[in-house]
Amino acid sequence: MAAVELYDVNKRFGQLRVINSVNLRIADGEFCVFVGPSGCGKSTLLRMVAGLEEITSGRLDIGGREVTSLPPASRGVAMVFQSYALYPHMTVYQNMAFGLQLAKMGKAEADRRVRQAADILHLTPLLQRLPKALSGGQRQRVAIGRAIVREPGVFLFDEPLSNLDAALRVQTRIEIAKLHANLGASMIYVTHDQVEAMTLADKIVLLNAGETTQRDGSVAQSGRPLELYHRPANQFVAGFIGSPRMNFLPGRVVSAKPDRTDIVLRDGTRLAAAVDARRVAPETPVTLGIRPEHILFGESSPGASGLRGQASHVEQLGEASFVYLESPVLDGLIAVRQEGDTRIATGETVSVTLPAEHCHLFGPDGRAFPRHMDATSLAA
Amino acid sequence: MKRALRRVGLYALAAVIIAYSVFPFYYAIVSSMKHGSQLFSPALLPPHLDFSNYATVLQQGPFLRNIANSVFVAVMVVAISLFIGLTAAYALSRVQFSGRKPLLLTVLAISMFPQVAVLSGLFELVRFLGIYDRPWSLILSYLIFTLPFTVWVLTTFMRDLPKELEEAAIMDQASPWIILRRVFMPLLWPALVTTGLLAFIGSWNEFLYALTFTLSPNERTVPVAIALLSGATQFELPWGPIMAASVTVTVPVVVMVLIFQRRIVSGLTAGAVKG
Repeated sequence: MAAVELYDVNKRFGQLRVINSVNLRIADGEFCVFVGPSGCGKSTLLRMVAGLEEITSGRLDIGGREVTSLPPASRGVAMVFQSYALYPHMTVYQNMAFGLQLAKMGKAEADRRVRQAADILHLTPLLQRLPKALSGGQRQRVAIGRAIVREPGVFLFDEPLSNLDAALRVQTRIEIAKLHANLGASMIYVTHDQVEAMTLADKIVLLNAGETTQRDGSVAQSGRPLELYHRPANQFVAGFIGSPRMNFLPGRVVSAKPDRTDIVLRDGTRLAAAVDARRVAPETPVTLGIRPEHILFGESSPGASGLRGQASHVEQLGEASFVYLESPVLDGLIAVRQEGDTRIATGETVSVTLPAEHCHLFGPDGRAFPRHMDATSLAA
Repeated sequence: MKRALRRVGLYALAAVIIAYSVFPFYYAIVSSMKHGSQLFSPALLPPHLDFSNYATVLQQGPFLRNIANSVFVAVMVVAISLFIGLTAAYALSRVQFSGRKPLLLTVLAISMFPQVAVLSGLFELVRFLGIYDRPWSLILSYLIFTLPFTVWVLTTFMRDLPKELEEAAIMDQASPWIILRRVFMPLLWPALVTTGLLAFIGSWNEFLYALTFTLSPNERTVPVAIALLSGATQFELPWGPIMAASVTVTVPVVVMVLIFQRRIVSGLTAGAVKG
């Protein structure tokens, strides 16, 4: 079990900074998820920790030791690949024992470790099979088993669930979570799926992509999942976490108080957000953000701000419904979530309320203003 | 009715092609059992099952030694080609270095040289190394035409092996040699058999270099030995023993191809293994 520490880690391909100035501390036993849009470098960062990619500048410590220029085998890490990468000509047993053989471990000890891992992963009846005789989920478990037997300080997972179908994905996700609970090992997990990130992580590291990486560094925000959900540091984080995406309404500041800011939207509607926007002047263009699950149907009561819109599209999922509203306040659609079924039909005019304590506000630079939330809305 | 006609036509065509390919070999077997003037009559079946020509050939002179020479040369050529080919293919397909593409093209270009053009240069080299009239001169010279296609085919196959497989092995603490031997080689069997067999056949049948670089009858390989078989008089070619010798040296190659034929087909068609 080892802690992982990155100090100002960079990776350059020629002039392009793929990974820019990453400072990260992953505690011993923590489950850390790297998440972000395509091209943000999350896989690259993982491979730099593994030793498969060179670190252009900066320092990497694993288990208190500097490992920046060490080869992968000396770092005390084990990796589970997206495509499993099992050796096709070896049985499950041989696949798991290969690394131990190369490390010149005694046969008895190697056998014990392989059988123990097979036991944890329910692979014991499959030990003599070849990979081509296994299903996708079974192959994934063999890949995980191969990592477990090495008893590494850190487990590295590179999008391990992408090649599985939806039902198997949920099941394997739970197994990985249980594995983490059982082994207590540090794990770094890369995914583009924010649901996996939210459900598995002790700590989420959300990475920037494109221009923003060059300008602001690779890490958009890192912290506990609910921290990123309730207090996103900027508009990018707010829009990435949560599905469907947060609604963004452009507007201008009218007045700012320590616990409440009044803004006016494009069509003159006045709304209030429970944020402290005193650092900018009135008339500054800002963006109001509110998640679909926090918008309430119904006319506004005194103290709560409201909008009217026409239902352009309705999605019924059974467990919830999503109503997409057309409104003069923005060019796109406002998504609103409702528990269970809805009786709203397309074309209907609907009134919604936007409670101030659930409104986020972002400045012209995209940075969030500090929210004033009462104690009950802080679940973390 | 048309269906039946087409069927018959297909089988007839197949029969013609088979006859065309197999007949020379069959006739050689038949001729090897004939004597004297029987050889000049086009009988399709041997008059008796007579193996005396074989006895003549095998007991006369150093023919058995020549077969041993051929085997030695061919096996060494295959072993060295595959070893150099595999290691070169690993470097050319898995290691990034500048000049990779030009190097591959150069390797391919070398195989296009006509054998005769290189002959005099090779002769100097063989003499300088002191291996004239030894099997090693042949082993060295055959590498010129076996290495290019071996390297080329193995590089292409290795390029198609998934990168993640190699990375998994690196994470397992495997050195490049271990990766080559225990991870890649088992996956490359079809390619290895194909190139190995082609290299074997090439060296087994080669005549020009074998004629030029060997002098004493003991050091000759089989094609040269057969060509230089002499008869009772200067004007007589001993067709019977010649046919017997040819059949003797062709049979091993045919048997090997039959054993490995499945592997050859999968080697030429399949390509990579998806892990």
